[in-house]
Amino acid sequence: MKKQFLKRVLSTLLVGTMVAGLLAGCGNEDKPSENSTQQSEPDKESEAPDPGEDNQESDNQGGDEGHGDEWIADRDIVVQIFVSDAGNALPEDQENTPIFQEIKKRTGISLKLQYTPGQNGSLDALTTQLNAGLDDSVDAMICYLNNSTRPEFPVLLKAAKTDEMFADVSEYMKNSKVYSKYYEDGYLPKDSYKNIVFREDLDGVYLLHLNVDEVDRSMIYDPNEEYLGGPYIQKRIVDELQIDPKSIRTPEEFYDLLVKIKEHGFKDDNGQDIIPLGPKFWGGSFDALDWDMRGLRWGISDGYNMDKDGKIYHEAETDYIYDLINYVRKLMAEGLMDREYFDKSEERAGEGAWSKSYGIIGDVHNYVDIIYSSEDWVPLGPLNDIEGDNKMVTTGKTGSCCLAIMEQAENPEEVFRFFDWLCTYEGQLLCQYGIEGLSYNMVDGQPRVTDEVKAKLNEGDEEWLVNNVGAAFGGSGAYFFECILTNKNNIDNFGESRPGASGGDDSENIFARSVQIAKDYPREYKLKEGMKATAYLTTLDEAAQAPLKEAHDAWKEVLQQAIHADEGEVESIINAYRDRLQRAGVEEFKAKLMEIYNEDPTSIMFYGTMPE
Amino acid sequence: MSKMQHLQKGTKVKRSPGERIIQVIIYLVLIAICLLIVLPCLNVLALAFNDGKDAARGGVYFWPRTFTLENFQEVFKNKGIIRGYGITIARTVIGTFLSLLLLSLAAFALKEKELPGRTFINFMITFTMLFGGGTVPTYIQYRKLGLLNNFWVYVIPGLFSVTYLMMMRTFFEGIPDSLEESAKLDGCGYFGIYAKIMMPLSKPVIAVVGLYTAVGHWNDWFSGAFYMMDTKKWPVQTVLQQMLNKAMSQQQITSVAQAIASAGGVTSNALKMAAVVVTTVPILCVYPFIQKYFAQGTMIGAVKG
Amino acid sequence: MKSMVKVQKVPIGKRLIKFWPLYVMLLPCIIYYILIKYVPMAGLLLAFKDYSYKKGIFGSPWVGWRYFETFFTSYDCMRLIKNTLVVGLIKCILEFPFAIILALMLNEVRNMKFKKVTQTITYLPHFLSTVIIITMLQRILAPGDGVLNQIIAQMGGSGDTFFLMESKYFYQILFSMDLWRNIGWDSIIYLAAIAGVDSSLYEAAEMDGCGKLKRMWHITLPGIRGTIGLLFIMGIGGLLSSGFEQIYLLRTPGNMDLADTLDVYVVRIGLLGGQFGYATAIGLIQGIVGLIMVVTANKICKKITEVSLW
Repeated sequence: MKKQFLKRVLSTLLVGTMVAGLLAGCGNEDKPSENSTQQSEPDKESEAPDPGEDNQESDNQGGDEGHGDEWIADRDIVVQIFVSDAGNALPEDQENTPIFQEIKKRTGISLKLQYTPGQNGSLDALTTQLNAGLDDSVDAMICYLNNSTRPEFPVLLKAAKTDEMFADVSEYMKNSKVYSKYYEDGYLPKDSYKNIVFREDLDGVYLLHLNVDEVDRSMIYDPNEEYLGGPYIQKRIVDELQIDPKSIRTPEEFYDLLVKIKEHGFKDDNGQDIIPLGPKFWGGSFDALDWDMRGLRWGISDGYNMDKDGKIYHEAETDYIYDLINYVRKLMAEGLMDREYFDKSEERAGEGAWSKSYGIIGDVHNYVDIIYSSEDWVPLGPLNDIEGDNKMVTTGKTGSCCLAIMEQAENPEEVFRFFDWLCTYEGQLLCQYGIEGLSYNMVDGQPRVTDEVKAKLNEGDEEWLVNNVGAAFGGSGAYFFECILTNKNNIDNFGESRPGASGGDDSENIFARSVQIAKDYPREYKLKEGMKATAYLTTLDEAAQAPLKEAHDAWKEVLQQAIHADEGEVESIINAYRDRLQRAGVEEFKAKLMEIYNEDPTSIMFYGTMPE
Repeated sequence: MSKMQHLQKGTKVKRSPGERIIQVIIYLVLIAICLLIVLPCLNVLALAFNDGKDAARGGVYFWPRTFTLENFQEVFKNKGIIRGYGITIARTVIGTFLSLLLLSLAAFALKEKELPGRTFINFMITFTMLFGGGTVPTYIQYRKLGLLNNFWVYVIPGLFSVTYLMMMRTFFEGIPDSLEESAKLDGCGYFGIYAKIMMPLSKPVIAVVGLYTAVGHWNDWFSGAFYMMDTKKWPVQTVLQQMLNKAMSQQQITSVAQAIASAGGVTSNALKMAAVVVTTVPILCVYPFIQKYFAQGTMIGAVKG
Repeated sequence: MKSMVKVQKVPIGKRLIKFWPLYVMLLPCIIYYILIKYVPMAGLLLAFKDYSYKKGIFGSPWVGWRYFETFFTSYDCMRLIKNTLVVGLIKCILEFPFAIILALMLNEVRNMKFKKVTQTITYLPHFLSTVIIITMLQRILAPGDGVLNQIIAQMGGSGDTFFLMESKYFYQILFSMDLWRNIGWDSIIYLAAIAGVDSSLYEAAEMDGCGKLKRMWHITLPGIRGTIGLLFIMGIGGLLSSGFEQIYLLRTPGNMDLADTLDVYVVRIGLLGGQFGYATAIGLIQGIVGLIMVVTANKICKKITEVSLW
């Protein structure tokens, strides 16, 4: 009957797809491109000679005949990626993507990128593979690492030190074109130098910190690139209450503002009363307190700081913490702050923001659509920190991502030279801008992206950029070629802060408002040297580290507990935590910190209530 | 259907009011449960078909306010999805078939009470349910077996499961020995008994284990995320997970360039909902075919025969 | 079934030969378990070693009971174990009967269309990811504008309770959510088992005037007791391994005293912290407790139902 017929159709279909799936799944990975490379302006060929096709087929021509001086070797380099932004922006067909072809043409290297996502932004994949061993074919790996306090770092360190998984590149680094700069005094951030690249307990250089700028521009305010985070207030509130958002600085002023907002009785899009202070745009978060209660955050060094008496404390041990707790409790009790400030789900927090149910969004930034798509929101503050000014703290140069070449790689020197070449001017030009004639043209000696690329950037068409060119375009394209670079200096090298930034009609640019906000609400920077106190946890011996680390990790939650607890419980919760710190050995840790500080005060970040 | 229905339709036996009340209660409770379950699911459906930015304003509950297929378009725009479906279907079909075959064979063997070593084997198998080596030793072993970066890593580790094996064994044990005895007298060997007696009578448990196994394959994103380096060989769940992670990382944007890259996409919540629909609907389509095997009365013919 | 007549035991050599086809059937199973499960079990040694990739599992230095000591003297260990036990009890024992009841109820439905639709609906939640479910839950339980609070307000209450933030509601929330999610899916196997019950028994009972409830109690339940026993034993083995994602997502500072279980701890320390030895040690503890539970449950089950795992 009908059912029988249906069954037959279904089973044939299933068998068919099964076979197809088998072929798709088990077949060779490098099938010829399924035409993902639709090059709309194909043959505005570059000046470079065109033995492109030939080079791919010709294997060992032996020697350097006919190879440019960029030539390294005719071989594969396999890179295992543990950076999710990079892994998510890989071309469908690497071999036939222009940038890979160009790399092969110029250096002879066939670059092969692999990616294992894992679950938590690649951290667990990294941990698993560095403990189980990477595939034999892998030549190098790259992972996130903004500084040595990141969870990836201990895993990397163990792999380098105990398991000797990586190759020592110090020999060839000294004479390299770009990486030799790392040896220069003051070039690398202190943490990168002392703790990552040139560690004393490693006999060589194994971990290369990446994305270090050539020139430190961290104190410069450039509205075209500034990314303004923190609280944003509704424009209509500003207009109706006639306040200047920039003038709100202290916790008292902030409180008064919230009261005024509430008393005025503003309504949201659904006719309900608004809550003066809402959560972070992407959902409840504790860290938003760093913005909204900035003046009450005493423990600026990851919970620690030095007090007027010259001693180091964890903020839980001081009375300053009660100031913070009581302030937040007061706000919540008086209906001035969303009770779900710390835990609202992303979806609902966003809903509240879009329907204008919050007078102030706890934390958002100017490159998010809710801010740049209308004139409804403007930045508030920024609020003063414990030093009494509202400047943004910067630590000078930073790095991100870490590269390591595997011990098992064939001829690690070649691999190193390849990555070194990528960071030279020619290499960076290729990585950032792509192929001359295809994705950029030289204008007055500086590269400018073609109109087509410009349009794609404006549309946010990452897929096109990744598959049809493969370059990074500042991070909007194939992110791998952004994070693999170091010694960056786009302004001096290319005349613009990132590809596509200069020129063009502003009105086409969807981020026009973002830039406008940055221009209207400028911020200043102040430089604070030193790492956060918890970075030095590793100076204690291993058995002592774990309980303290756990205590540190629990602190944010304990604070939230205290904030939400009943009146009589607050003190006991804080006292219990103080006990916990003591039992975990905090006194010993603080003594260690004092030692390190006395040796070199710029190595730990302390400020705000320092002794005169 | 079965004779029982005729009986219950009230020809011979009188239905007491107590019975009717119980029946009504049962129906009411079931309806209540269904409502409790359906309403949130309708919410997911509504959000999947609603424009993301519009949904972000709140208020979309059971019906899309601003209908759009954009979310689904965004999901399928990714070539990886189509490929992922291919892989997922292949592994589900192959994996389920192999599992059913091997599980039933093993269960059949284990039900035999006289089999030497039976208790030992049963215990050793159950033991694996409680103790495992952990991620790293497993990874090392898979590499030794050549399973990494290989389609078969989706099928082989999932071939056996203690629960399903025992479910089948218990079911087989429930089939009367008399059937087996008479078959043996007729000269049937063990393989014959397996094929001619056990399997035909075990449709319910095969259907259930088949369903559970198939859904397990369908939903697995873990294997692809940890054991497959070649992104082209990901099953659809892993592809979706990556797509969602990418959409959600909007909040971690720290550079203008990244903001540009993510500007073109659809909101992550709407994408999440569309992804749920895309992965659930195919399995829902399979269930009705299997359901009929749960009907009562499949035993009658065999015993009387 | 135990037979009354004493069967003469055939000597083992002859049995091995007689049963050879069965061993062939078992072969893939045995190979599988050895290769996929038992070889990696060497990894359990990591609970006693300071693992380093270079030295491998067997070459890494022995540290004895260090991880166990650290755990048992740590700040949280008792609380973790207690929490895990309570959650385990809720999941393995408290929730257990509901799927069976649902299956029994569904079995009584005569209208096939209603039955099909209901069944399909009940297992839908199984396909929703935990993240989505928790978001929905948050929405329902929100203080002020959540559905539950609004109902309470209508009935005269304060309508202000922040359910997710208070530990006194944690277990109720966990129980309801888990039940909502699993009841339909788990009932499927019971339905299949019920389908295997000889229907002639029902006819006979009805002839004797047995009511619906009596039939359920005397025929259906005993008929599926093998399945019930089996699933119970399997479930109880997981008493100390209550699952990670669900608890982790439900956890808030308000209920974190309770929403902290061994699995959550292990993931934080082990996988993300790279301390495999520690994580393996805890896994070993969980496994041992599970083993004790399973062995005990198996013995009890054997006595009551004559059906057991081994």
